[in-house]
Amino acid sequence: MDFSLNEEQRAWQMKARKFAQEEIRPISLARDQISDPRETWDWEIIRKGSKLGFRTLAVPKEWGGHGTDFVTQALVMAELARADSAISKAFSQNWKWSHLISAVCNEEQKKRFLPQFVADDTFVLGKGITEPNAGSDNRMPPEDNPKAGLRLRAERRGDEWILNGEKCFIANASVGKLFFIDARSNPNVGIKEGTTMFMVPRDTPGFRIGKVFNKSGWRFYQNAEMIFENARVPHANVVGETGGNTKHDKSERTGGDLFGDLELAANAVGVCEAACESAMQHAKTCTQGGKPLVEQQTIQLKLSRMHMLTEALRSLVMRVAWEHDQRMHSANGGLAVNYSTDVIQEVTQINMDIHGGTGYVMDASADKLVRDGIIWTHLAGDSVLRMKVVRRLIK
Amino acid sequence: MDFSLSEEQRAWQSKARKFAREEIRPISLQRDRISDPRETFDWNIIQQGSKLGFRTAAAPKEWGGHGIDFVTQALVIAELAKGDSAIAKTFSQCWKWSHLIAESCTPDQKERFLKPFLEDDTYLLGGGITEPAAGSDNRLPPDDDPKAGYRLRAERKGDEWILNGEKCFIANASVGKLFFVYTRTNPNVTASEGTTIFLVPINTPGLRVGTVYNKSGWRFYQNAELIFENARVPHSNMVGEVNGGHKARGGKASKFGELEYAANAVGVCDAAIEMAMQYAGTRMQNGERIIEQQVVQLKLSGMHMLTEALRSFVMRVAAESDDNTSSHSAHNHFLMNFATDAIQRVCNSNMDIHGGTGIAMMDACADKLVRDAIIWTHIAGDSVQRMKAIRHMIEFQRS
Repeated sequence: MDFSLNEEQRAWQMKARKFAQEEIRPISLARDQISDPRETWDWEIIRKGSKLGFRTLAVPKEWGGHGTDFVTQALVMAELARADSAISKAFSQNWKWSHLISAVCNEEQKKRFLPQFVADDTFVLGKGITEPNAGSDNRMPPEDNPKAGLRLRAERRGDEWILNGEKCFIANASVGKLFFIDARSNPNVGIKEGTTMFMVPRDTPGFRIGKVFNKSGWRFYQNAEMIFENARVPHANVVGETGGNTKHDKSERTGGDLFGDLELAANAVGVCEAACESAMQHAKTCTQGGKPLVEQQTIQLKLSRMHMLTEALRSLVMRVAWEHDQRMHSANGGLAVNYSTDVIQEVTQINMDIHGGTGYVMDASADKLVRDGIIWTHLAGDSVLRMKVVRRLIK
Repeated sequence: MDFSLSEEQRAWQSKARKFAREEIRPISLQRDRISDPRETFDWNIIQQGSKLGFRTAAAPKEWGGHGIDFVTQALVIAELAKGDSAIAKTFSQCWKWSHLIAESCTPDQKERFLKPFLEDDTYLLGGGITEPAAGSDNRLPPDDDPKAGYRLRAERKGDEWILNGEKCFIANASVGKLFFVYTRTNPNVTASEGTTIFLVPINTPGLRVGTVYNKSGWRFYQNAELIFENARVPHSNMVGEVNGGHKARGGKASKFGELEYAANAVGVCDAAIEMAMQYAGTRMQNGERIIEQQVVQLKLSGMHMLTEALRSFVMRVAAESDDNTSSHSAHNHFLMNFATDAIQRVCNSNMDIHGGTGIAMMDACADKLVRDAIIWTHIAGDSVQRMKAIRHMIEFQRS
């Protein structure tokens, strides 16, 4: 039992902390306040971060990435998120899908896509699963309804597949260069048996981006519609086998769950730290009744709770990261992401509470942290995931 | 970063698990139901556990104890608590004070007290701090009131000290053989400057046990009054220096207390989860097992979530406590507060899932876990602890 970090882990943590403090923090609120959701993105910060390795952190070393372990990934995400949760996620979203490329793509596909991804500082990845009528049903498909879940059709014509349908809320859709698309290659069976995954480059004929959603939080991070109208994808871009018979780990199917759960939980640690820091600073400087807020019992209880929950979450996150590195598969990843939802929302709200009226104005950042925290309710389907975890524990 | 256990840690864990399942669990509910609080204790289980090393687990090896590290201590406490939280605490209470003997006592005191403690399977330890008018003020003394906190007086007469006053809610008071008693040797300054700690054997002339409190939970564990009427304690039983009591308790002894409660809570949460999963998997409602129902799944999920968060936090703090390079941070305080929240929510959810059978029938055990968990609200002063944690943190940031 040892909670300490090795030198490499510490080095990545420090590098991320410096970048977050010096580069991300100064632009965070300005980007958040841009009202047009298409304009919140900043390629400059992505390029800078990419040159430091934050875009390709999870790509295996033999393909030119940094091949860091899960513990390091968790540390880096938390550090970046401390400055801006959405910018952290914009980087880590690439790790999620680069995990998928290295886990399930064949050698030819890796050769076609990984070197490009590694070489180009603006090459961003995404994945399309959710559709206007299919969110939770993708995560926990009902056994008695084969029609439930995603409906985007893929039909084979010779060496190509023709894709028709729509995806929504897709992360990085408006900025990404390559997407993993889950499509129904057999509409008559459940999604577990009838889904095929395709790699779809941005410039695929018949594929376009629709509206960019105007979210209340995570404004830097872009979620958009994807529209497929007879989009033509070469058969060589099929990931694994058609019809869901992919040999890869099932837990990767719905979107790299193994990493995905850790990713959100680690990001929440960073947001909680930012909230604790903000609350403590405000409580030390703002006076009420002739003494600093921090000397008043009700404020002490609130600050104490913020730190308590943050440290509990950090402990669970680091344990899960370590378990992932040991390839131990358990329900703990799911429990961690659920817990991160509860913690990030409570901690950011207490911070707003301590800030009083000033917390509710948009430039105070207390407000931004609360808005960023709300997305945890929806990410990966919060209550669905809670039930999924228990079903896993029963087995 | 390494969350794995060594072979020795695993061996202790398995030994504790076996003892908890085979010996503690079978007597747990019976002992809880005995209505006279003086009769709930069972020397047989203490002797059995002592022979396996659970009473002396934390005493240093060079004195004949087992010298297990904090990680192992946390594991053992959690396993024993899964069998019965109060019985686990009876054993670990001895570790708390044996940490103090090992850290702060003189070789002569160790010879006189550690040796008999190690040899006698019925030798239990306790500490006397709380008094009728002094609980939270001991934990978080006000800066501007030297009179706040315990008042039990100790005055020197020749080679002896004369103790007068009363301690209450003292753990193991009615069963222990040796107590660390916190006294005021200078009543005109604050407790942090005027405290002296004495080793007081139970057969000290002038010392007697008063009421044994009738608690709603942790019934096996005895809390009682200790009454001092011109009790005579030899000067050689003083721990550390005169008025140096607050300095005596540091290092391992101070790290252990919070970890102890939090680790105990992990075991109780494990017991609650086991019960809830078993009940939800067998109880039928509307033609299906209630575990198939969404509301029950959400409750079970919440129980597991809090328990794993708590376990992770406990094991992290245990590892940090073993790592001498890491400083004693506010994490220990936060951990204990978190244990309070987690154990109470998890035990309530278990009772909730059991429906009427959980609250109405004491033999269902769901009720017992809830009652045991309530004590976390008071142990070591929950809200006081929360404020202390944040003050500690602010000081830490200043330095």
